[in-house]
Amino acid sequence: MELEELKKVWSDYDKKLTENLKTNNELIRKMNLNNAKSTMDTPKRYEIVNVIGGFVFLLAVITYTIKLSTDYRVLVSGILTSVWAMISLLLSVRLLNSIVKVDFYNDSIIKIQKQMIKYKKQFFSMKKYMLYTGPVFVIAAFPFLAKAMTGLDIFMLPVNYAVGVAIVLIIGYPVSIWINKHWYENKMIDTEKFLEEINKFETEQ
Amino acid sequence: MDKEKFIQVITENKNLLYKICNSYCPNPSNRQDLEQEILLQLWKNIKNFDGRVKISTWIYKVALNTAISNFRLDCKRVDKPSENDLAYFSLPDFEYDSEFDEKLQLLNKLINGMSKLDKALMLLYLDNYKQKEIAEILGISDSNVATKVNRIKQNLREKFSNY
Repeated sequence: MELEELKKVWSDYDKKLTENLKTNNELIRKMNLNNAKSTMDTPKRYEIVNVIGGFVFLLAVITYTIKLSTDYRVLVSGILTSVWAMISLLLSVRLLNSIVKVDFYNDSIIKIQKQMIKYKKQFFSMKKYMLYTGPVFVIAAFPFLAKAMTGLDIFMLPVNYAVGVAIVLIIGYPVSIWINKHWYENKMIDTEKFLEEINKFETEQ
Repeated sequence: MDKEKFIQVITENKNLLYKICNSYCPNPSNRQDLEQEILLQLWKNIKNFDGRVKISTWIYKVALNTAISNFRLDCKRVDKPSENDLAYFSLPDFEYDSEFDEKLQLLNKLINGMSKLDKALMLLYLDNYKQKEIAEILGISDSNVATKVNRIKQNLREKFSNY
């Protein structure tokens, strides 16, 4: 079959659809169109929440770090927590910036798909960062968070802290590596493959 | 735009919406998710439609982008249809003549085997969009579109030489 013949088949198919295809108007009427969350909106909402939450958290950490700065050990813990929170916030801002730039309705398909890929790659990289720094963050931030939230001075209980550190390292890292490998690495590979496909599609002459 | 006017626009463009959903999600039990997602995208953004292009072209673009980007929807997964599965677009069995049926099946097989982007190009081509329009919608050059159409023709000759 030639392409022109297929076009004829497609055109006949279109005629059949015009005669037979039914639109379920009742189902569309029942759709909560104004409040429904679409898949495309989810990443934007997610990043907005992350940026606001991250900013509030960073502000709280800095405030308490200053307040508890008399104890240098808590101060160091507070500074490390602030740095971690600052990096996380910057990564969230970068992600939000990537997703708000996507104009789903006016840009060309290739441009939109490339922007989506950029967002996805940044998202997976951020998840990797969070997973790999998470256990260290828990260890570094715990003295500060315990002091700020409950008044507990963990340095008065060095054995408990050491056991906690060991548990976090022994369990936390294998879990982080496993999650990254099984959840994000495969998705990252698929994203890279799609990017290759797009580049090939775009440049084929 | 109110809901009734929106339904009218959807009804007027039901064929292209059905063809896109069917091409990107051939499994009927999962297709409703894609149909719903496309309808939501169209509803949320129809206010931004400025009339510079035909409404069908705009719908094509939004629907194709949604279908290509459907990172949450798993169209390869085969679920058994449940009683709650209500399609937004339904096609009752209609009579084909056997030759037409065979050719249509071949065409669907060809489209299903294509990559997401080739599929978009093929659908636009089959729906008689001009080379320049296809290039604009996809964001590639005119010559690139011509090359791809030639490649598809060549593939067709190889795959369906017996028909």
